[in-house]
Amino acid sequence: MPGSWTDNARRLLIPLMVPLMVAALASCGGSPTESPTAQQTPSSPANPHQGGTLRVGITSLSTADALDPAKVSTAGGYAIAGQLYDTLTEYGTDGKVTMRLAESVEPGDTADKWTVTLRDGAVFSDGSPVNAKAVRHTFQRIFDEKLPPSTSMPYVDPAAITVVDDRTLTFTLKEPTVLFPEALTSPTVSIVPEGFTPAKPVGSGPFVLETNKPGTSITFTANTRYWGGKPYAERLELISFEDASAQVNALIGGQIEMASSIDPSLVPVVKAAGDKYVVDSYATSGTLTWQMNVKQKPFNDPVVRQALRLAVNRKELIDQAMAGYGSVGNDVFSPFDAMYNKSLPQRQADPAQAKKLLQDAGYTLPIKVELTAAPLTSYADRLNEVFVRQAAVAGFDITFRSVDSATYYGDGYGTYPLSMSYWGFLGIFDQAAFTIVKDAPYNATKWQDDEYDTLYDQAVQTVDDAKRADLVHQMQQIEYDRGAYVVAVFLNAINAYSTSLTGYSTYPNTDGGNGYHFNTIGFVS
Amino acid sequence: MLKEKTTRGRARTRREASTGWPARLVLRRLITAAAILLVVSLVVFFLTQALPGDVVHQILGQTATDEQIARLRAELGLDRPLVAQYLDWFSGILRLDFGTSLTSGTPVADLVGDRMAATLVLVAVTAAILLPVAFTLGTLAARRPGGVLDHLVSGAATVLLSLPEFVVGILLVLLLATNIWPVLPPTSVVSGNQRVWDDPRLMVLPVLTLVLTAMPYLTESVKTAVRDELASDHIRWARLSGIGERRILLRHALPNAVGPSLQVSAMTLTYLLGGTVTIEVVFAYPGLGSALVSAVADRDVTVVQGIVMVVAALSLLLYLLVDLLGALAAPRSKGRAG
Repeated sequence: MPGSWTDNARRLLIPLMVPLMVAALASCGGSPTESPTAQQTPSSPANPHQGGTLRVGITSLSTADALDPAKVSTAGGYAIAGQLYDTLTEYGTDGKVTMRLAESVEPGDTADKWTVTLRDGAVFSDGSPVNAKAVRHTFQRIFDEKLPPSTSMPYVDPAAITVVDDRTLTFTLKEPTVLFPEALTSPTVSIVPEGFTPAKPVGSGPFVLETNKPGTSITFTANTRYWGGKPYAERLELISFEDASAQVNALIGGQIEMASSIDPSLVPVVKAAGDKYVVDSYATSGTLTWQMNVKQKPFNDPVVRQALRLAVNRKELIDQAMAGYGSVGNDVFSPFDAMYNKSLPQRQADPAQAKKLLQDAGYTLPIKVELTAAPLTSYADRLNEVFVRQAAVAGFDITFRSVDSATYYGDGYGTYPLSMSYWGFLGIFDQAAFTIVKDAPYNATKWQDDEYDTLYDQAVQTVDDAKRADLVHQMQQIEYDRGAYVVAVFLNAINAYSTSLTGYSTYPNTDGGNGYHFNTIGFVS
Repeated sequence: MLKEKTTRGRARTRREASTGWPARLVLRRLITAAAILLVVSLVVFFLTQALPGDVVHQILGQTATDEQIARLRAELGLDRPLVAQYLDWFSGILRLDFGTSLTSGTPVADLVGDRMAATLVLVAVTAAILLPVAFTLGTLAARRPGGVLDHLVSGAATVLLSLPEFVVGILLVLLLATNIWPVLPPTSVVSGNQRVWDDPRLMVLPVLTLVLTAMPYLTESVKTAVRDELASDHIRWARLSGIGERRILLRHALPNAVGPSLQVSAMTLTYLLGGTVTIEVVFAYPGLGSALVSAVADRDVTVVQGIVMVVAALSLLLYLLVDLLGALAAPRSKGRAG
């Protein structure tokens, strides 16, 4: 699912290297103090031309990247799946659900009947058509082999998918849910042909596989049959950099044309390298969120949860840990969802009030608690350190334990009183289904609220947009009032690329810089 | 004086122990090596198991459910008893089959083959520059303790030793690749099926960094060994017998200093084999070290085992080679052997 990220990239040296590089640059006359909020103009609308090899540095390839889209769980895996495969729907450049292989996904009178109509003329890279049978096969394979989407889409009944004609099929869901079109955006439900095997990864995506060196690099060639038009670049290479500084150095040294998702603190390094490079930064719904486990002390007490949310200075977190590249969160997810509750007042830091809440509730301060987290992004550790400092002012004595991701997701996962996760890139319903409602499979907070669940159950069955929006607003109000996530910051996607490229676009609700859409990017003539 | 004597005494004992029929020496060392490899494989296997978390959790991450964890564990054969897993793996090793990576499902040999070649080339090129330069500088500096060259070597060594590898690496990048005088590629990334040595320019900065960081220690060791030899009784006798300084240095002192210096060289090279991780990170050099770090982080036990076994075997081979060379170089041992 789009929010999960078992990133393996270990940027061991960043804390030491970044200051060194920035210092060196400053002494060379760079201007690292330029305002990060002033977004640079994206590449000019000049027409890209066909051909060339586009080399993209990403910090997250791993040997665990699956070529089987249904098994994708890593950041690198998502990047790869986006090239080889297509989904029925996707989160578009505005962050809203748009159609991809599907021409339309329409509910019936109730939200348990859905009709999917496929785009005309899409073919797999082997020439076979992307038809209704292939879509049905994709879902049947997922449920027959009990692949992960069978957990994330429990409402799909593989036996109740009917092929109406070559381009039309109907789904009768086990329970009505309007999140169906949202869920279809997940790369894990990319459409694959009958007889699919990851050893021969045939998909309908913009590129086809050329060479795969797991964890090191992966090379693609343009899919000449791509329904969206042949990609501009003839070849695409994704090259893995364990170290964020090396990634930026490679860009400046001309070894790659694009550095995808660079560390915010390295922006000055790129800017100092001259006008041959563009830094493009845009807000996304991705977040590093703190999870307060309500089954553990002290967060079983709503007052303590409220106090911690008040203790956090969101703007300061972004400035100090993310070099200013981020946007403040309001303890609810999915800011790009059309139904996001904008009427909730922005929560401001008030450590004095937080402290008072705790004292009034009879706590002896400080409250001791352990925070367990893995360096899920290059600046996650920094974020946690600032967070701990801020919470201290409000009377929390937080011990930050940074572990590697295998340890983090090991047997202890789910038992940490306080932890950090990488989520987002989902609509409100998908996010709720995964991490908030009763029996959500990936809810590390264990928070559960009957009123919320009732509203959710009603909302997912409500086809009428206005009525549903009202219910969603109430859901988010409850999360805001008594939820267990501290959604304090949303991350920016920061890409740096050579001015020899054009055709870059923003995908605020998709993981990875420019949502890993490389087919529209080409070289300027 | 007393100290020098003991050093020399120990060196001689070692040499005496290793004399005898070279074939017998080799055979004995090979049997020891096999035993060491067995112990290494056991230690690594069970240590990796003892790490918190496992490959299944790492692959599935926060979207893991109990059912999927159980399924993947069974798929990868991790639900079998540890001893069975170990024996399976070990019997494969005996047939030179390193198994498949738990995370990617590709054969370990395919996954690390290229990376091993890249590391071996890196170490070989580094050694080809490092050894002659360090031996020459060390010997020349030892000839006049307290002389200009001695001071220069010690001074440079102090500076370089105080700089961690990655700092030297980053400074070189800033100096020669990105900022001051950009003439070299800043990283060693390769395209598709290209290998890092296809474009020698990609190797310059990593090799330079390794040479600079390994040089001080090795040069100082050579210097000390040669200086000790020059101060020894038999050299004094040689001097009294009127043999020229040049001949004393090249024919008497240096050959005896080669043995201990080669030991240090071997240690340096073994360190480079598995210890180039920082270099690989700074330069994105596709070598064994970063593959090992990733494999440990992923709990990809078969890959960890494969890399450790190969590095251990190569190190043992290197030490054997060095012992043989040392035995051949030292004139006194040669005499006794005959």
